[in-house]
Amino acid sequence: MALSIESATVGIDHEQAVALLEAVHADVIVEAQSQLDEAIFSLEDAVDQIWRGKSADTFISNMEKDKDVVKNALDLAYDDLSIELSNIRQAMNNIDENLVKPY
Amino acid sequence: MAVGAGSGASKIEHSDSTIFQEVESNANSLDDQVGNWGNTSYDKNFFGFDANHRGDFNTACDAYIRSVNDILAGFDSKKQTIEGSIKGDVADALDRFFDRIKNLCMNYTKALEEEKAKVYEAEQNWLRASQGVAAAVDADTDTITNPVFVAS
Repeated sequence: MALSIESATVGIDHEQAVALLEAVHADVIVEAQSQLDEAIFSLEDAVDQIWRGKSADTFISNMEKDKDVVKNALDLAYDDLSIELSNIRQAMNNIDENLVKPY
Repeated sequence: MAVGAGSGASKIEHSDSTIFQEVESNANSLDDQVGNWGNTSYDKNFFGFDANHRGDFNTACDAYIRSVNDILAGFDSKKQTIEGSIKGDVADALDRFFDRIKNLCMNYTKALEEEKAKVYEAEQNWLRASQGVAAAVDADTDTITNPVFVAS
């Protein structure tokens, strides 16, 4: 039976690497961002019930801005992971291509 | 309050000091910013706070903080599911990624707690400043006279 990635001591499965990145994006990043968007609505409703004025609007505006900063930071973390995995895949490709030279 | 995101290739190391400095800075400029989020624009004729429901505000703040902590708590199980039996450089990259986003969420909840405390402090300052002054505000069905805050 041909060697599989599970049995390899060292190696890379490019398809799995791509799938892994997609899973990280969908199940970690997008899901966390959605949860933040959803959670802040309840806070905004509560503020609306008990507090009115410029300060209330500013409080909510600040909360929204910070939530968006966190969402952007999640995106940036994902982008960096994507770059890093791309570099790893390329490095492995280079090793594979240069390990044995054809005659 | 603002949470530092950083930019560029030197990338985001969310040190506690960066975020707390920005919390301090934005909390101090709270009054200077124009609030006009979404469909909400404040009525310049009405400023008030329902002290009888201050507990609801605290509850809502705590619930939001809990939501962020839930996201944080979920990262560990997601990491295990995604990493599986991956090893080597890819596993190391994933470890660093998850450490980074976990730190991001931890710093965010710390900043939220500080913001909640600062809002309460601002309220108390306002209350002390307004005590002894009759404040009668009629706004539709809302009437506030001599506001009395219930300490939370």
